[in-house]
Amino acid sequence: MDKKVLSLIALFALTIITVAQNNPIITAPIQNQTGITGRHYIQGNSTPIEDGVLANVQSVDYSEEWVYITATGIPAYITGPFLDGNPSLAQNQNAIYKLPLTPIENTGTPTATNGGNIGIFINGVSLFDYRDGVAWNNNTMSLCGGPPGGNPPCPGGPNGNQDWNRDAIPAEMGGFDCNKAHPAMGNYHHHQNPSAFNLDLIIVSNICETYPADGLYVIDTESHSPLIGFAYDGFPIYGAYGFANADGTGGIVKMNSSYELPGATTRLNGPDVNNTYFEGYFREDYNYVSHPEEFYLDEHNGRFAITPEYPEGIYAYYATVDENHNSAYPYAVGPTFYGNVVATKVNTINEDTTNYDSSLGIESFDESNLNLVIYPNPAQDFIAIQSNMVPENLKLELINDLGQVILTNQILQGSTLSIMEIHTLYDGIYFLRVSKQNNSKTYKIIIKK
Amino acid sequence: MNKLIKNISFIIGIFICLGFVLVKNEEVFFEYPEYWPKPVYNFSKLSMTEEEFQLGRHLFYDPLLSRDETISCASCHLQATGFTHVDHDLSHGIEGRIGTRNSISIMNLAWNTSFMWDGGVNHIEVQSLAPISSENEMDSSLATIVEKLNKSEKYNSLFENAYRDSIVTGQKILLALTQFVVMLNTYNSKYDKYIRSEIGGEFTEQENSGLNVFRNNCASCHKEPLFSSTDFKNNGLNIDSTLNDFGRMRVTKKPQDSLKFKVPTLRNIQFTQPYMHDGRFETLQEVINHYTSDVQHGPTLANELQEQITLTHKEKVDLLVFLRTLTDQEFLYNKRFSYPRETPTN
Repeated sequence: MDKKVLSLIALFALTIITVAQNNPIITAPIQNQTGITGRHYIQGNSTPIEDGVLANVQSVDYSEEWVYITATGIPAYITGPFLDGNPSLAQNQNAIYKLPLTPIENTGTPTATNGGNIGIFINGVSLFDYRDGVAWNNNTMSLCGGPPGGNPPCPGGPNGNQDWNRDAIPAEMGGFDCNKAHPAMGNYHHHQNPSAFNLDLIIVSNICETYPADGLYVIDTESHSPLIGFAYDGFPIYGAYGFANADGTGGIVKMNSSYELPGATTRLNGPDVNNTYFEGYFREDYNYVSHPEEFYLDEHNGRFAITPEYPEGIYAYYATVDENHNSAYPYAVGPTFYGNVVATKVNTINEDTTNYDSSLGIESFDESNLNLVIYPNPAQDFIAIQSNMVPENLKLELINDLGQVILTNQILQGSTLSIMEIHTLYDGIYFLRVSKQNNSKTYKIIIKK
Repeated sequence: MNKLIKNISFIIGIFICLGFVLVKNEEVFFEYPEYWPKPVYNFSKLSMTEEEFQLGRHLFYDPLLSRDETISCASCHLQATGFTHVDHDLSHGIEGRIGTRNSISIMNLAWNTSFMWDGGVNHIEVQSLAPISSENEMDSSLATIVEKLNKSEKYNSLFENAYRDSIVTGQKILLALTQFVVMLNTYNSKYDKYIRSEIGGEFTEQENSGLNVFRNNCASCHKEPLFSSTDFKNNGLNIDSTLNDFGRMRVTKKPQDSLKFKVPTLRNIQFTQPYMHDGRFETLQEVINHYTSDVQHGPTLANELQEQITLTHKEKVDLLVFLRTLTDQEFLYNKRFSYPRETPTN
């Protein structure tokens, strides 16, 4: 074989790798580069317990058609407690998610979303749809299904079709942790926009007061929300805000669900609307109402548009919220998928793959991308340092007026918040240095107890 | 009778004896550091067996003890906070009823001569009767609980295991609860390791300084190593005019006991907020500020507080840092004391 052909082959191979490495489904997952492990709260104690399980994504491997994301399903943010009696904790899922590199539109009958995983977040945490497995049984005139020991099973079992399916978001509110998530038999999952409850404009759960945590990202109403995950059809999921127009113009606006509650008072083959079974209790209470504006999403809760990661445009889902930043039905993906649902959980990788080394993609420190908020200042009990989303660890150092580093901490990749406890410090002026690799920025902090 | 039969019955006899040995209950040991004072509790009525301990543990975590079966002992006494509650000042009972006091922590009870904030109960073995029968707490009675438990297969078998008799009696319930709570002992905090010169007990300069502040200003009431005393003291709190709680005087009817309350232990105090008998202080900062600037002088004020405590800013910070060394993680997260799950989960 002559040298020219070899070079051509090499060039061709390089092109494939380069193309693959530009595919966000390979580059976006947050790979654990520092060995950070999960933490969880137990009821009654605001000090988290360290778990031995690695957080975020462990590795990303890809072939010509597929990407394999190996993940524990454990986030970097602190999980729990789940105050509705849910005895489960977030446990290692030891999962390999196989997703398509090139997602394809489903031109036939749309596939309905299902119970259990319907996507994964970029930190490897599971995404579920609206449902919690409970539905209405019109023969017995009562609820059926859900966790064992609760309601009687529904006709046809967990896979039967019911007319009225309960929406987990209002029904299980009391059991979500500060990150708006909870586990099902150890499988920790979000049903909804993964921002912390206490960052919403109207706060609907007080769980964060005692058990603070930070969720995957913080809504920033002035910039395009980050890519936060992928659905089981391979199409990406974004946070709550995007470009007003599909062509990337019109500024940043909230992406709106096109599902509405019509103000019904009765339900066919279901219970009348009342205080218990309020409108919105069942997902079938919602009607799809088409809007002309491009920032209203389609019946799958997505649209085709330009995004920062896909300058040529992509079909994408959005984690929808209302004007108060509370989660809005259908929450992320659903009730049907846009594409062909081809993703699966596999036990092993059965083809030749290339590993994606995420350390190659580390960007240099750019403070303007971080939207750092440091509060309270003056500080009394703690200093909270909040960013919108951190793909790599950020180092934090508190420095006294003699220039000595007296406290260090980090914002862990895949989380957004770090809380520095300052109980050992005396009143005075301090400096907080935030750095990544060799770049840093310093902020002045006053401690006044 | 011929010799063979005699031998056989002898052998069978041995087997029967062995059988008794084999089903003998597992003993539990009451352990504490050898330099501590001897416990004041007399353990003679307890069987000191694992089975009795586990029975007590089930009872402690069982809402069946309350009239409407909604709250258990653990509803107000959560392990991770030193067996007290943290989310509100006054304790809540069934049907959202609210008591008049902040639940007291449950630790090292064998060294206590009296119980409750006002010492209204003087024996640990009957202490649980108070919350069981209090209208604002469990609003039940021992007789009701005996009746409920006798109908429960689970408890018949737990009582059988513990006492070789499945019949539930009031006395056995109280003893089993005692067997559980008396074992809730904490002596493995950083402070304890410091005293024992163990690994993990190395004090920082600031912790040492805080210990000195503590010994000079607080230790005369909160006596080491238990960080409490058996006394009742008026610590100079303003009386809350909605509760009108005169403390110890309610029990003794003596005016000299007005506004006196039990001196609580400071162990695990980092997690036992809110503080004081009515839970009026959310933070330890507020508690220290009370002692340095808000003590109310009255006829029964503790001698130790007659002269104002003055602390510099640095001393206050160091004292707070020292108080965190009383946190005993091994105790707060000890799985032996947690909710008894049928199958272990992790």
